[in-house]
Amino acid sequence: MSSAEEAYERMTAAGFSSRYRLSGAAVPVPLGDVATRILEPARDRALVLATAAGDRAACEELVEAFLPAIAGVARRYRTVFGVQRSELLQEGVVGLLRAVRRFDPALETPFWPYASWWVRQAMQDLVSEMARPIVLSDRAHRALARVRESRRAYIQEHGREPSIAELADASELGREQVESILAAEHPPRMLGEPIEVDDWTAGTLEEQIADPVSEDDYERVLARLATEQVDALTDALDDRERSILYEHYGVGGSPQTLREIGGRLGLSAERVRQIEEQALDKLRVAASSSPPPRDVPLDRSTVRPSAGTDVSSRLAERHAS
Amino acid sequence: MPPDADGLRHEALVYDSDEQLVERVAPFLREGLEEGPTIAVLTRRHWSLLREALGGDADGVAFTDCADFYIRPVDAVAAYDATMKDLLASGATSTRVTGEIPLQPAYEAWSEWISYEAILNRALADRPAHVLCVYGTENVSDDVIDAVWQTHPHVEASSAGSHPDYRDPRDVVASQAGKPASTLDLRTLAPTDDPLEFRELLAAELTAARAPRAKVMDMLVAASEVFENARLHGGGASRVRAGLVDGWFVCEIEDRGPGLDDPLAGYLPPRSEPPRGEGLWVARRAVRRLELFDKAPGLLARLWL
Repeated sequence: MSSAEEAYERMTAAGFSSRYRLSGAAVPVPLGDVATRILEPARDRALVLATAAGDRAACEELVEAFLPAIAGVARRYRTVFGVQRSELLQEGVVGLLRAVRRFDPALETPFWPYASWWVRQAMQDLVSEMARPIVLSDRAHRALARVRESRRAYIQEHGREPSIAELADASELGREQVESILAAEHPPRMLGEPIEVDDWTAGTLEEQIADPVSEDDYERVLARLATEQVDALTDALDDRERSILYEHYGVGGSPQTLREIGGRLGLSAERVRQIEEQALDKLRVAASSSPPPRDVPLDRSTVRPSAGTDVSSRLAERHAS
Repeated sequence: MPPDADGLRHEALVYDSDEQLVERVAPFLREGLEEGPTIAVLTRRHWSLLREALGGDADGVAFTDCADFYIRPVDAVAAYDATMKDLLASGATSTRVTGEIPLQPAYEAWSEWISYEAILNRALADRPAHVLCVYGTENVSDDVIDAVWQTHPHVEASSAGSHPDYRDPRDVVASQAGKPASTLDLRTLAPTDDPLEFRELLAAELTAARAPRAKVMDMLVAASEVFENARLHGGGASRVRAGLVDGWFVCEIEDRGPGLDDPLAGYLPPRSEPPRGEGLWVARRAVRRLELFDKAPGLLARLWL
């Protein structure tokens, strides 16, 4: 068994999609409705690495290459009411980029089978959050909690369900408000549910919903990719320190000796060496104590806003995001 | 249960249903709000359920999506440590956190999060914080659930059952260590004891491999720390190899020392200011992955960019 076959077996055993099958190729190849464009594994990894390094063009290429596959995953949620296809695609892209940040080269797993798990997770999370009958405002959430608490207390005290009027009284809310809040808790209608008009079936609910699928979805998702620049460790350095390190180690050009750099800057080779040591110290401190580099240009607007105080932003700032 | 005034209280809730989760976590967060900063790092679905239960109190809880937070264990440790340090400095006397590791695609992926839970006991030992980790039996395998008992000094479970005892974090991390080092096809660099020359040699390999510019210094910093560690504790680097493996840049540094004597090496955030002598922590933070293998004799450090 080849290493690719072993990897495939491990992934299948671990619950990866059974839609991946070996087809004589050296790596698992997605078939059917999943992907129309498959990258070579080496190209995958080059794009993943470049994306992780903050290369926006690579990030866009990666997303573009995997959008058909992401759309394939999204298709399984097409019957979920309350979630738009474009939202699913956005979440799928978020999942893909989460996979980029997590992808562990030591696992020897092809990228897409690994990433598809995170894509699916991201979509499921969205669906379970959004496929509620109605999205409640913060105020309504508070009122709902109050109604529930009142109901629990009433049942404890009286041993029976309260009426709407009793619930309104106990929760000190208006009767209409209680009715609206309780209505919001009703289960959603199934898409396959028949719609009946005067004892005549006029089709299903699903058939009444306009198909939101369009090529524009892809464009919208791509357009929402971040424009943020990557915060590299070297942001901790001043221009001279950065230029000395880059020139000495040939980052973006040919490497130069300390003497050559010193000649250009009017410094001795020893002084250049000292500046380099100071710069490396700064990088050590930056790597040790700062948040890790913002290594994937993930657009925060694709992640749903959350409640919280400035603690959450501090936590987020302390972390890759 | 109040947090230990002097340090970390790390406990876990093993629940069977959403109702049980909400029933336990909502009061935990409410109590936290009375004490100080309160943080929830959960799935959005669970936060949605808790928001309903908490009502207006939810506004006081700092929520972060766990899928965006728990990316790499070392970064999660660093984020919690730095945040708690900041909060203490700004006057908080304790911090309360409920955390949920996102579901992982395979046990190999869970393994490092099991280690993370063990490491947290040591890494945040001196931070006055009450951390409640939640695990659902519906979605997580028995092996992972058993590890909850091994990594949390206090566990509350919805269902009774027989579970292993709490273990020393070093033992847990050692037991989760990966497979022995495989042999990678890498190029051997010219031997040297000079850190500057070592960096020049490695930089040439990085350039030849067309490593992304933004990442070159990350590898140079991380590898320099490991190289220095070998000089100080391992009798010097006996062999350095580097190159591309399936598109990933890898650097291996072998030394002549006694091998890995502490499984927690490089996992604990430094406490000195500025950080000193914490080379492996710096290396772990700077590169995608740092693996350490005992070579009998010696230590093999493998860095993945």
